[in-house]
This record gives sequence, structure tokens and C-alpha cells, in this order.
Amino acid sequence: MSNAFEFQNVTKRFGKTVALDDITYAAPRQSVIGLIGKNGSGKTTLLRHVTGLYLPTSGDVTTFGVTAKDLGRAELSRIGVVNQHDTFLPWMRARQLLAYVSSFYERWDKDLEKHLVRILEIDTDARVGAMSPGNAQKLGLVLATCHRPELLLLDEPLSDLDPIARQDVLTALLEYFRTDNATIVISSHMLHDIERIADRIVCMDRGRLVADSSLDDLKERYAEWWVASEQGLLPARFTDAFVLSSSGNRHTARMFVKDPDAHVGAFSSKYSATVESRPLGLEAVFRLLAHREGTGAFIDAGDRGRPETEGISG
Amino acid sequence: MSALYATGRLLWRPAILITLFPLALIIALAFWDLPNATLGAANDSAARITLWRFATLVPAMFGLLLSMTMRELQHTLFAWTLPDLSRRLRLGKAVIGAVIAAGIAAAALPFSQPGLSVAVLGWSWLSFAAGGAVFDPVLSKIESRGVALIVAALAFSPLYVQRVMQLQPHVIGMLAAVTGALLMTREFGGVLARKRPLTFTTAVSGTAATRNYWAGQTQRNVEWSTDLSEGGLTSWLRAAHHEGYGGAKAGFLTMKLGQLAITVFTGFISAAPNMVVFFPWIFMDGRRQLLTMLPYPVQRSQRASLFFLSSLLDSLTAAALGLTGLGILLAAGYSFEGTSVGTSTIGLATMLLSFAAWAPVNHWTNVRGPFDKTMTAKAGIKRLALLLVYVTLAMSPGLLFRIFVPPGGAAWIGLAGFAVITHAAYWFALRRHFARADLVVPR
Repeated sequence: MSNAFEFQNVTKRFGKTVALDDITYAAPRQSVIGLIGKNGSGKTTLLRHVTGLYLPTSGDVTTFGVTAKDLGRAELSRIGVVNQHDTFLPWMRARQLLAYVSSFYERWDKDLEKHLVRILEIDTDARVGAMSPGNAQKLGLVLATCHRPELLLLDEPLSDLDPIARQDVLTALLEYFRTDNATIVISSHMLHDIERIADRIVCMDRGRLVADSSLDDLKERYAEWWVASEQGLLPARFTDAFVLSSSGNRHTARMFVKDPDAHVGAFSSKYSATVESRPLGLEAVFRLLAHREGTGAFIDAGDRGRPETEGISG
Repeated sequence: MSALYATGRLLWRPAILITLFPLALIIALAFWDLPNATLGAANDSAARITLWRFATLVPAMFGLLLSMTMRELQHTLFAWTLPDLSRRLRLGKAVIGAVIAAGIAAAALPFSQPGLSVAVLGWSWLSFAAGGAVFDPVLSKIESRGVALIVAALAFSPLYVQRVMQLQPHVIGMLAAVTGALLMTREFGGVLARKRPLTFTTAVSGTAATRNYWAGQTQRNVEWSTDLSEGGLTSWLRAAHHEGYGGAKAGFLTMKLGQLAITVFTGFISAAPNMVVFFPWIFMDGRRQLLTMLPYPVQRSQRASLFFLSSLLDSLTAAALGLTGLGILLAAGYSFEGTSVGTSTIGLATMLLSFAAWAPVNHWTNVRGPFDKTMTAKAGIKRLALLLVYVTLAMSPGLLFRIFVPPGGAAWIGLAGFAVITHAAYWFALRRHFARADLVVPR
């Protein structure tokens, strides 16, 4: 099965700013991909390339096998997009906008529209320009999903929503994914929410891809260790490459490590210490991936077979 | 000095360059519609009339632009914490106003006796202050529209202003200056400042002010029924029209009728047929476009074609409005002084052809219109240059008449060929733009 979209050595510059730096990536179909990264890491830029709103400075972007600049009706009507702060036509009422956008597509699931409008509590008689940012975001979600796209790109779709609305949106997304087996890419800072629905994680930092892995693999690959010396003193500083950061004293230490299972035995023997390993949540993993400014490239290619080049040292 | 520097530094932004366009237009208008005025041949009376219009419109426009920008600075949460900002802005604005008024008064010296220069000085200063008051949010809509109407009426009636000023130039000039100073003091007054909303209230998407605005709007409920799923260019053109004009309170036709009325009025006041034919070209707004970031299932090359067709429609509408306006005036028995060539078929055709030939330059400035939220200094200068070129060239049919009247066959072929070339260049530029450019600008 071909990928939903692919980036091949894509670099995007805005003047002197490098927004995407030699990105090579393929989004597998029928997966929910969580796109995470700090502000300005290039998430929005990446998503806009997928729909052809942006064109790469160099490299190639293909969506459904078609180059981004040549995307036509056949491909674009298979994509749904929610932008962080969508600007719709403010003078329309919500129902008018729904009717207008539905006319773009050959198929428009009216039942799904009614269902989403009901569960997301959207007032369809309200003027779009008069909607709160949260309600506008919910409306954007309805507009992006009712033509049942094969590829759904969600750029910070939860940022303006309250916790209850976020829950509703996530439930709706999960329902949608189970029904249609679509590819969903969701970019968000709400990592707990991403953790609930994503099966793959792509992490970006300063325009580069620093992780691309299944969520489970990513979480297994990192761990928090609580280390207690059984005999003698622990070293003042751990120089092992798999130790990403550490703190503590010469008797006990807390550290974040990479590939814990591969190293736990040797580590215990080497330092005559007991190790208690605790799994990490996505947020903690993200901190490890992102908290490495100035340390050079650290590529976690996960199961995609790319080499690691450098570790994080505390 | 620091106040002036602070004002200048705060006001400076590349986007402000674009505001020079209406200013250039006003300066051009001041010299434009005098029936007998030609380059270098303005008689004394015509020059004086021009002078008073100039002394009203230019300072008013400067005052308006400065006030709009200053308000943005003054009424933000950030500015609230800056010490002494209001005083510095007031002083800076006063200095800028004084420099403009003095410049206009100095320019007036060759055309008037010294006493009248004092009147021009006071009058320019008052116009500057009045321009600033037009959009003061403390004023009610009726009050601000009243101020705008007075400024516009005086600008269009320079003879009356001149007659009043000549009665007692010193006294009236002083009175005007004092009134202007009072207006400006009021604009920066502390009590009024507190009455104004703290945050800037222009249409920033998603703000409470914008939401309240739209909640109170009573737009027509235009329903959309065309199926675009198999839609060709014509269907998408209708969609673009729907997006651009569907939200207009009175509808597209009523809007154009209003513009026709303004055109006829302008022709009536100016007594210049070329003004009637030209004026509707100012109304071209390039709004007939796909305005949002929705993933329209439209290929980039189709977007280029859509843009081109939309531009052509804009040009045709402008031409139709101009001709209709002229037809109305002629049918009503209005006679244009000494401009028989202007109303002849050949004259009109020449004018229209010359406007049409240059129209793509104007359309090109809209290419990034709906998308371009930011503007670099380079882009600003480029756009300004394009607009100035367009205004200068489009507003010089008088010169064309001198060269082409009566236009011979070669001139006609030349003009028509030039129109074809500009449109072909526009077409290729659009194709290139949509094939290469980003369709949205990064935040």
C-alpha cells in the first residue's frame, strides 16, 4: 500500500529562516500520527506542504502519489484540513458555510454532519464571524470530516477547546477513524490527548525530524531509572551514551535513559547498583526529545531504520 | 526631538507605504479635474482652486492616517504600560501637522498674497486635525460621518473656501488654527482616552470586538445551491463571487449602483468626462476570489485562470460603469466644457483602451491580496511603485489626447496591441505565480 504522503529531502526557507530542513518522511496510510514539537519547530509548515499551500524550496512532496504543486480535484477532495485559527467567511451563518463547503464534494455525509453538529453543540444559525474561537474550531472539524476524507490533517485542532469539548472532539475523531480507516495527522501541544489517539509519533525540532516511531516503541525506548548504590559510590557524572540526563548524589540518582532494556543488566553490574525502571508518558519523552538545544542532531528513527547520530547528555 | 523620533519610530512599518497610495491619488485629484488645467498651463485662478483643495485633502489624509496608526498604538494592553506615550505621540503629531501645514503654506506663496498664506497655514492645520477626528471611536457614527462629510464637501468646493478666506485671511486663518489645536487636544485628552476601548477594535479575527460586530450584522441570507463537485471555471467563478460579495449588505448590484452614483456625482462636480470614465477603475477591488484556506478542490493552474477571469470581469465592470455614468450625464443634458473630444466615440474608446491596457498592472497588485497578511519593506515599495505607475499612466488620457487626437489607425493598433501585450504578460505572470508561490503567508 502506498503512503498517504511523502517528503523527499524537503527544505523550505522563508527568507533566511529554514522552516523545514531536509525532511524525508513517509506517512503510512490508516494510521493516526501525532505530530509534536515546540513552537516554531515546523509542524504547520509541514502540514501546509501536504495540501500544496506551500511549495518546497527544494525536494519533493507528494500526496496520494501526486506532486504537491499538481494536486487537483481528485486528490484535494480526499483531504480534510483543520487549521489552528481558520478564517472562514465571517458573514455566513454556520449552516450556510456547511452548505457551501459541502457543494465542493461529490459525497457529503449529511448524517455525519448532523451527528457532529449535535455532539459538538454547534449553533448552525450563528454567524461564523460571531463564533468564539472554540466553536469556530469545532465547525472547522465538521467541515473537514463530512466528505469523509482519506487524509485528515489537524493542525492544533484542540487549542481553543475546553476540556469537555476536547473530549467530544477526540471521541468523534476516534469514531471516525474506526469507521473509515483514514489517515489522521494531528499536530498538538496537548500531549495527553495525542497519547490517547495516536499510534505513531513524529517529533520535530527546528525544522528537522527528530523522532518517527510508533507510540509504543517510543515509550519503550525511553525510561526513567531510579538508581541506588549497593556498594561504594556512584560516579559524579554518568558518561554512558544511553544516559540522557541524570541528577542526584553519590548514593542515589534519577536518570532518563534510552533503550533501557538493552542496558539495565550491564549498568547494574558496572556500578553495583539496583535499578528501578519506570515507564515514561509521551510528555516526558517529548521533553527528552526537545530539550537538547545546541546539542546537534539526535535522530530517533525508531523502527524506520535510520541511524542514531548522537545522544543527549545531561 | 525625542517625541518626534518616538512618533516616527512607532509609526514606521513597511505596510504604511501602501497608505501613500490614497495620498498620491488625492494629490493627483487635486490637480486633475480642473476643466482647463493642463500641465504647465494652469492659470492663476485654477491654481488657487487647486491650492485650496490641496490644502484641505492632503493634511486631512495625513491626519487620518496618523490617527489610525496612533490609535492602534495607544489602545493596546502593551501601550497602556508605556510611560508618557500619549504626550509624546501628541507632540510628535503636532510637529508633523505643523510641518505639513507650513509646507503647503510655503507652496501657496507664489499663488497668493502673503496674508492668504496665513489663511492657508491655519486651514491646512485645521484640516490635519479634522482628518484625525474622522475615525475617533468616541465620536458617534453620525458625528464622525459629519466630520468626514464636511471635509469632503470643503475639498470639493474650493471656491467657497477661497471666498471665505479672502474676507479676513489673518483672522480666519488664526481661528482655523486654534480650532485645529482644540480638536487635537481633545483627541489626546485623558478623559476621552479612558472612554475609548483599551484594545484596538479593528477587525482582528476572533476578538470579542469582531464577534460582537458580526453578531449584530443583518446580512442578507444568500443561500448557495450550485454544485461545485464537477464544477468548471465558471462555477468556481460564481463561488468566488459568492465569497467576495455575498456578505455585502446590499448586494453586488446595489453596491455597483452606489459606485455609479458616485461616478456621476464626480463627473458633475468635476465637469471632466475622462474623470467619469476613469473613476470606476478606482473601485476595482479584486474581491472575487477564493478567500479562505479551505482545501478547495481546485488545481493551482485553475486558480490562475480563475484569477485572470475575475480580473477581466473587474475591468469590464469598471468600463461599463464609466460609460453608463457618462451616458447618464449626457442624457441629462450635461455639457462638458471644452471637451468635445472627450465625449466623442473615438475619444471614449481611446480612453477606455488606455485604461484597459494598464488594468493588469492594477490587478497584479491584488494577486497576493487575500493571502498576504504581512508586508515586507521590499514588497511595500514594489506595490506602491506599481500603483503609482498605474495612477500616473491611467490618469494621463489628457496627454494621450494630445498625442493621438484625432487618433489615427496606427495609434489605435498600437494601443490595442499594447492592451493585448499587457494582458498576455499578466496571464503568464499569474500562471507562473500560481505554479511557484505559496498560497498563504507564514505567520
